[in-house]
Amino acid sequence: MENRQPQIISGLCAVALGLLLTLSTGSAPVFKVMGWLGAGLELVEKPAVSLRELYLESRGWVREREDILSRLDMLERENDSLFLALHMKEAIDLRESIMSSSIDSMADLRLPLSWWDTIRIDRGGIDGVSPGDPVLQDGFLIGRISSVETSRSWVSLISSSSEMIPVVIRETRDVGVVVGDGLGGLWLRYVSDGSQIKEGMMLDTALIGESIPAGIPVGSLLGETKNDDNGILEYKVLPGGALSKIYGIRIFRRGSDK
Amino acid sequence: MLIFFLFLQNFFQVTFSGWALAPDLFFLAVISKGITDERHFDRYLWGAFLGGLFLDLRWTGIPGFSASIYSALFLIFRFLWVIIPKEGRVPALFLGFSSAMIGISAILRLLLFYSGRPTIVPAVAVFFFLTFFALLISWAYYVNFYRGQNV
Repeated sequence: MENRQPQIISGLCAVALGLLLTLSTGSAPVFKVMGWLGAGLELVEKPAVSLRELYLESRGWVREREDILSRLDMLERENDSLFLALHMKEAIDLRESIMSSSIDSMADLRLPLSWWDTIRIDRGGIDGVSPGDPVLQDGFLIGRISSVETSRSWVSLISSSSEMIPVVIRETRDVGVVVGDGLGGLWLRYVSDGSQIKEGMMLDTALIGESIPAGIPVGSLLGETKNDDNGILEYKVLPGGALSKIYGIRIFRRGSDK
Repeated sequence: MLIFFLFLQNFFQVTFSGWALAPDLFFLAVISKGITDERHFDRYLWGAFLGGLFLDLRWTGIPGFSASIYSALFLIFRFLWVIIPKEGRVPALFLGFSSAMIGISAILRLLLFYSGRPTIVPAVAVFFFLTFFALLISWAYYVNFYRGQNV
């Protein structure tokens, strides 16, 4: 059997020497040796230092990016809220404007031959009505004053083939024109090709010209489309007002608004 | 080879400085080589001592702390190992012994470095994760040696 006594003694010597060396902790020579060792290893440790700095920089970049993205998200939400608040205010102002400058009226004549084109109402020039004034039913545009008499007026309905109403799609802000087909149907035309139009989107009058104030609801889009004789794509519109049964209406007097 | 692992451990320690402890690659190399080369006991014993002293002077600031731990653990490991007959020195036993030695060394180092610090859990997790891989490599080294022993 191998004599292990010298090995044990050697091992115990190493341990004892190690323990003795711990007594020198904090002494000036130890600091000096540590300094030399650190300086001597500077070059060897450089790749590790570079790797560490690269990692710290990458982590900082990732954190900064996360922070920027979260701030961007927060700003987008804030922007949406401000946008909504701004347009809510516009809508409320418009509603107040319409309410204060509008009068109620009744349809008193609707000729069968021009059923989808015109109606006559019981308000005229004496009531402050003037040609071009928008006519609303349940808050939706159904036509505009085409001619005015003393106490009567004629309304050209939006279902008339002679009417063209500039509109904006509320959800996408795309602009188009609503035209009547003279048979009770409404169609949206001249919308740009790239529009993401979907069924149910709402149409409001657009601020094009001064004939009709912007923001008056007209109706909503149906899923049906067709091409007219010139190959132009048209979208079927569901009118907000009940064009087939018009009794009580409201006239927005633009003259009084001014 | 021991110097290579000493510098590798130092490299990891610089990289993880302030974040986690580097695994005891050097000590693992000492015990792996020390038991497969039975003729040069003193070389590995004093190698462990000097390596430990190097790490102390570079990192702990307590010269002799790691040196005496490495020396003592190597001595214990070596004498436990030689008590076992050659037929019984299977790789699983080596893995168990080396894990135990590394575990003791790790506990002592962690107590010295991290006692009283609040962020001990991530540092310890990274340390054990890396140590686990180092143990597997040393185990694979011993498996290779064991197959060549023809026991």
